[in-house]
Amino acid sequence: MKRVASSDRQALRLLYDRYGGQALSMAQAMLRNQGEAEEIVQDVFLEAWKRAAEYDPRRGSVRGWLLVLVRSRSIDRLRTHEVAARLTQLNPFHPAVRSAEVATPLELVEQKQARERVRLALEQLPAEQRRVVSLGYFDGLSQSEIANVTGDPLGTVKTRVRLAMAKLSELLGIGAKGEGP
Amino acid sequence: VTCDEFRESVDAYAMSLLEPEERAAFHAHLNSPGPHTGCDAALARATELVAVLSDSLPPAHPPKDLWSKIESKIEAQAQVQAKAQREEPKAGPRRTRSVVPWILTALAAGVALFLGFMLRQQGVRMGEVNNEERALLAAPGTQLLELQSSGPSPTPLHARVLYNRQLGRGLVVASGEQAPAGKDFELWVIRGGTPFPAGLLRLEGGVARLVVDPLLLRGGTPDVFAVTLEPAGGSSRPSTAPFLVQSVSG
Repeated sequence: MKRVASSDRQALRLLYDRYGGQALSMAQAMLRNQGEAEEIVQDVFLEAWKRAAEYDPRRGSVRGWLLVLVRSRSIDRLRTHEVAARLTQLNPFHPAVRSAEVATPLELVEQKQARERVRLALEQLPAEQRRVVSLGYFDGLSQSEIANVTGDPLGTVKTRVRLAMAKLSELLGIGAKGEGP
Repeated sequence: VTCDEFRESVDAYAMSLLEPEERAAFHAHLNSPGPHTGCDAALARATELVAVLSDSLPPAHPPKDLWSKIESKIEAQAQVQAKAQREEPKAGPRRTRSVVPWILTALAAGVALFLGFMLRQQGVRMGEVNNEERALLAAPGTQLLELQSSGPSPTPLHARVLYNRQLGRGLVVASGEQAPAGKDFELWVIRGGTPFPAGLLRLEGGVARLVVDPLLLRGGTPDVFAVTLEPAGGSSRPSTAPFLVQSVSG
C-alpha cells in the first residue's frame, strides 16, 4: 500500500490481480447486476489509488480494507434503489455468481476449502442469527431494514448481529489482530 | 460514541449495517484523537471477518477489460488534478475561516424554487439525467434547489437538490472537481438549527449523485441543505462553515 500511496500503478495492478476477483464477487453478490458490480470494482480501486495513504494496517488487512470499501459502495448503490423493490428480490442465501473465466485447479481447491470452512461456521449459528447475517452481509440490508423484514425489535437484531459475529470470529479463528495483509 | 459502544457495534460498522447517522458518529469516533481502548484492534478483527466471510461467495473473475477501465479513470483523474494545479494560483485563498453561525448562514441564503420542467429548460441536458432523477423530476411537487455560494469553495463545485416533500425524497446532483486530497464534500440536512450528515459528494468523472437518506427527510421538511468540506470519510458534525447552502421554501 505504501507503493500505491506513492503513485506506483504497478503496485495497484498487483492488488487488483490479487483481490479484484473477490471484490467483484462481493459486489455481484450484493448488487446482482454484472454491470453495476464492475462499476463498483472500478470505483473501489480508483478510491484505493486515491486514498492509499489513509490505509492503516492496525485496522485490518488490505484485503479487508478493500472488501469493506466494496460493501460500503455497493450499499450506497443499493440505496439508490427502492428498498421495497430489493426486498422482493431477497434470496435465502448466497446468490449464484457467474465466473467470466475458469480458475486453475489449485485455485478451485483452495476456493472450495475456504467456502466449506465458512459454510460450516455459518451452519453452527442458531437459525435466527444466521438469518441476520444473511440479510445483512449477503443482502446488504441495514440493521433497521433487517428489523423491518424479520419483524424483530431493532435491539434484538443488533444483539443477534453482535452474537453471530463473535461466534463466527471464534469458529473461523479470527483474533483481534486479524490475518495480516 | 464511546470506545465501549464502538467495540460493541464494530461488526455492524465494518459490515455497513449502520444507518448513515450512526455510521458517521462511529467514523468520527474512530478518527478522534483518543485515547482509545481497543478500537483499532476490534475494527481489525471485524474487517477480517468481513473478508473471510467473502470466501463463501462463488469466485468471480473480472473481465479482461476491467483493469483498463480502472486505468482510464486514473488517467482522467490525473488530468483533472493537473488542470486544477495549473489553475490554482488564480484561485486565491482556499481556506474559509467564516464564523457565521449555521442558522444565520441558513437565513442569509436566498430561496431558489424551480419546478422540474424548469430544470429541463435551464441547462440540464436530459441525456445526463438518470432514471431516478427523471422519475423525481416528473413527480408533482418536486422542487429544484440550486445551492448558492456562501463562502470560498475549496474546489469548483456546483450542486442542485431535487426535493419532493410529499414523497420524502431528495437527490443531489453535483458537478465540478473533487475535494482536495484527504478531504470530502459532505451534504448536510439542517432542521431546527441542527445539521444532520446526509452523505458524501464524491465526484467521479466530474459528477456526483447522492440519494438523501429518506429517514432524514421523513423527520420533517429540512430548513436548509448545505455542503461543507470535511476530513475524508465525513464528520458527524460540521467542522467547517458551509460554502454551499440553500434554504427550503415552506
